Formats: sequence, C-alpha cells, structure tokens
Amino acid sequence: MMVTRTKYLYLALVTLLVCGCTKPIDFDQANDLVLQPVIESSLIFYSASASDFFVGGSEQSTAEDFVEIDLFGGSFIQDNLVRVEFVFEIENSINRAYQLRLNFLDENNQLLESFNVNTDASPNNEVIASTHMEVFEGDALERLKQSRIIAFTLVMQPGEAINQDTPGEISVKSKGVFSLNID
Amino acid sequence: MRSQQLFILMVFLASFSFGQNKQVLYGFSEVPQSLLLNPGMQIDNKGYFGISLLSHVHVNGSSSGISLYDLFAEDGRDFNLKLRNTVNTLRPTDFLTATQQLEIISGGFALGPSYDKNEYLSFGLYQEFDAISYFPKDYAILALEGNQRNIGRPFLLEHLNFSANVVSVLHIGYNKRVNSKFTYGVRGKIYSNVADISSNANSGRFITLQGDNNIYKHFFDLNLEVKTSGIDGFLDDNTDSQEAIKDLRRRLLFGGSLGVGIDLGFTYHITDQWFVDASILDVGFITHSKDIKRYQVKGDLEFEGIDPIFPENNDNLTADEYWSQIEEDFEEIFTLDSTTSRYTTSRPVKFNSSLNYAFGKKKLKDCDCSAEDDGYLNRIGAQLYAIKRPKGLQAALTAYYYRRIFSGFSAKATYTVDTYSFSNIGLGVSANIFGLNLYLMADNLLAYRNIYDAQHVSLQLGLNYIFKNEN
Repeated sequence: MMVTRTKYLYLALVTLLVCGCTKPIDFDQANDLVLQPVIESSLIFYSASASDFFVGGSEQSTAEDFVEIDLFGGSFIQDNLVRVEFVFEIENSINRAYQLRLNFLDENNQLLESFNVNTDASPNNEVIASTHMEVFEGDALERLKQSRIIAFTLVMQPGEAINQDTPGEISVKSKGVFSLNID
Repeated sequence: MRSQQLFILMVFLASFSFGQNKQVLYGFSEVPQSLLLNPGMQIDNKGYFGISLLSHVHVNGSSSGISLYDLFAEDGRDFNLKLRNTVNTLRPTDFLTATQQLEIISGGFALGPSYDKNEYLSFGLYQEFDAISYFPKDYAILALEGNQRNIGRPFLLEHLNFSANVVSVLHIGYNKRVNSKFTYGVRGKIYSNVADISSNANSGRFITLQGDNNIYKHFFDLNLEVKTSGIDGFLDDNTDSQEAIKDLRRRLLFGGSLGVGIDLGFTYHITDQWFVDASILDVGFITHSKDIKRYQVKGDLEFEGIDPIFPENNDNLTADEYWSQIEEDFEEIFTLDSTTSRYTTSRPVKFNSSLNYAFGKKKLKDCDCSAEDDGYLNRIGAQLYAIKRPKGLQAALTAYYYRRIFSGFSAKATYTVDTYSFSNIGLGVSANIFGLNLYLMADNLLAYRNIYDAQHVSLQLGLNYIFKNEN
C-alpha cells in the first residue's frame, strides 16, 4: 500500500515537472536558420570624352586593362555566395557605339566566363542612358568563383571618325549585387 | 554552421533583466549575508560563520525584451520569420545579464564591552561572475539583410557592447550602532581578476550612400576594441590543463590583476516603527596589468569602386595598380591589431534603499499584553535598487511583506517592478535550527510555470552557523 502511494506521488511529481513547468519548445529549430543578406557594392566606373579616344593624332579605338582580384578567394564566399548580378549604367553622347567586354580568367589565364556591355552611338550627341544586367547563378557562378583576373576591353565600334573636337562623353557606373545564403 | 551558431548566440545575448538585484535578501537581517547588501544594517547576532561553499550561492540569468519561449516555441511558425521579428523588435538597449556568486568563506563577530557590543566586524571571500551584453542590433540587421535594403542607413558599430568577468573578492566590514536610532557601516574590498573581457567603447559606422562618380560610395569608419585580461594565457596552446588550473587558483587567491572597492551603508530609525536604510556597493575599480591582450580594428575608408582608367589619361596608374592600392587600404583598416597595454575597469556600482514600517507585537496567551523583548512580527516596506551599467542606470522598485512566523522562522514576500516585468513575485525563508541558519530565496516565482518564458530567474541559498544574542 505504502509502495503504491509513493509511486503515485512520484508519478504526480514527474508529471508536474514535465508538463506543469514548460510548454513545448524545440531548440532544434536553430538548425533551420538561414541568413540571406544581399550586399551591394560599387564596382568599376569611368568617364571619357570623345577626344580621349583621339591619341597622338589618330583614333585609338581599343583600350584594355585588367585587375587581379581575390574577391572570390575566401571559403566563406565560395560556400555561401549563391547569386551575383552585375549592373551597368551607361550614358553615352558620343556618335560612336561602344562595346565593353569583361573576361573572367583563372590564374592560368584561361577564360572562364565573359560578357559584353553594348552601347549605341548617339548621332545627335544627346545622352543615351541604358542599363545592362548580367546574372550569374549555378554552374556559371561556380566558374565565376574560380576567376582571379578580370580583364576589361573597351572597343569603340566603327563609325564616323573622331578628332580632337568631336563632342560627347561616355560614362559607365556599375555595381555588384551579391546574394548570400548562409545555413 | 559556426557563423549560424554565433548569430543565434548574438540574438540570445540580447534577450535577457536584473542580474544583481537581490530584493528578497535585502534587509532580511536574520541572514548574515544581507550584511553584504548593506554594511550599515542593524545586526542582532553575536557572530556567525558561513558553512564553506554553501553559505551563499546566487545564480541569476535574466533577459529584457524577449524570452526564449518567444523564439523557440513549437508553434509551427517558421523559425527564420520568428528570428527576423525578434531582431526587429529588440532594441540596441536590450540586454542579457548573468550573475553568479559563490561564497567561499564568511564570518563575523560583535565587538565592544560585554554590556553593549555595538560594533561588528565581518569578513569573507567570495567569487563573482558578472556578464552583460547589449543587443548588437545593427550587426544583426547587416547579417540578416545586408546593405541592399539599407542604402543610406548607417550601421552603428557602438551597438557592440558587452563585458564579462570573473573576480574573487576579499572583504572586511565594520559596522557600528551609534545609538538606538542610527547604525552605519563600511566595507573595504580587494578584487582579484580571474578573467575579464569587455568591449564598451566602440564607435564608427558603415554606410552606403548614392555615389558621385559611381552608383554607390561606401564609408567605413571603424573604431572597435575588445579588451581581455587573464584570457590570452589560456588561449595559448602550450598551456596544459594542470598548469591552467594552478594558474586559476593563484588568481583566485590574489595573484591576478588587483583592484580595490568600498561599500557604504546606514540604517536610521525615524520612530520606533519606521526606519530607512540605504547602501552603495562596489564603488571600485580593477587595474588590469597582467596577461593583457587588446584587439583593435581602427581606421576609415571611402570606397567608390575601381576606375580602370580607359584611355589612360590620369595618374599613370594601371587599373591593377589602382586596385592593389584599394586592396591594401582595405587590408590595413580590417587588420586586427593587438596591444598589451594596461587598462582599468570599474565595478558595477549598486545602490539600495528602503523605507520600512514594522508592526504587530506578539501577544502572550496568558495575559492580554504584548511580549516585551520580541519586537515586531510584521514589516512592510518599499525598496529601490539601481545598478550602473555601460549604457546607463537600470532600476527596480520592490514592495515587500515580512513576517516572523515563529521564533527562528521568518519569511519575506516581494513584488518587484522593473523596465521589463510587472509580475515578479519573490519569496524567501530563513530557518534557525540549533544555531544553524538555513535560507532559500527565489524570485519571479510565477515564471516557474514555464521556465523558458521567464525573462529573469534568480535563486539564492545558503547555510550559516549563528551565535545568538543572549540578551
């Protein structure tokens, strides 16, 4: 009799402790945490007047340059970067069309990815504003992450010859939109 | 995974209220440890000693803003959504504190002529852990959203504000009953730092604005510092655990960075039944001079992008040279510098005060008169508590009822209001059996129904041997 009573008392106590004191709570939910910050950063910019393409008495239609970048080098970016969007805002009032080519190369100078940003000529020298967007996801993004060099090539397309006094300007602004998924 | 856990920890750090308030113990004169809360308390024992390691254990975790339950309830709602709501609800002044105290030795005895022992000396050694962290809101927003949705919004680096320390405290107190109305006391303390980490003086910001030459310009103005004392030595891989324990023991026994402090207090009887008391505790500092490591990130930088300088018309730099320069600037500003110069931390100063009214003398059964020497059985009063924290004062107001239930057994019930809780009910009992004094105190009793929903829990218990006052 005594034993049974103790048992009931014990049972009641346990019930009280387990049910009475807490409501259901699940700490494993923390495993579901996903951080999805989106970072926007300025990238390249330049502006040039038409006469800048007239060097030493002749037209210079191609300009090239490159940067070595370590942007994608860290394991954090490698693991968590899920989408990259490049946005270019171009304003052109020169009566020549332009093509900006971006080549992404690995350390052995092997081409991984590339894209072009095209700009129309402005025959009447009015400002033509255009926006170009380039999105990298999936396999293309994985290749982009391997790149260590970005080469820029600006090509002035054939058209009406320019000289010291040709009016107009071209300006390019750009940003990168980096979407992360940290889980 | 690690960054994820860190983030959750960060949100937690935000979520906890009053670490140091011991409203039940304050003024509970049967318990000798109440003398630590007011060195100028009226004492009515001849002496005592605390039973080693049991005389005062105090643990406390508390939260402001949200509770654990809000975030982790099994309510079928998406965890990420709950977390975002939590982050948005919390303010950068919300904080978490945790306190723990362990008395190692304590004792006291009355002094003075045998017919009037009106002086009292008390002493002891205790270990204390105290931590506070404010919610680093802007850091959390940046981690959750990035800067895309926050163009033009400054991310304030001052939101990172925390400190945690372990000290051992050796103290000796003097108490004097000047007359039947007035008693005062003073306690001197020597602090020995075991470990200290703090970051309380951060400033600067990160902001993205519309640019002039490019789409955006980004400003980094960083001034961050984390100070540590007594920690770097343990991080050293070459330290084995044996040595570490030895070192820890040495620091607990005043081999660490040292500091001094003082407590002051008084009790004043306005009438036979009304009295006021007040105390100020831990007015002191520690000068950290041993095993210091301070980490800094300092500098400012404006970034608008790379100008690949197509027709190479300015500066004669190639795009790569230009970029290398920017990379260097970034590296310079984000590189963690460290120094070992000494620094000083102040202890969290605490203030206690109360207004009390005693009433109801014990009636003797065989006559209709009241017992002469037993004093009043009941007491009610109001207590005010405040503590100085890095971002300002935190205060709490308590109303209480005290009752001596029978000889050697008394109880106190409290109701406390602070910034975050209007439902904090506490209860404490003290029992004297054959000279042994046993006490147990807890607050926020209502919250024990669902402990996870509690924003504050505190528990104190202890055991003393008391030499009773014969007269």
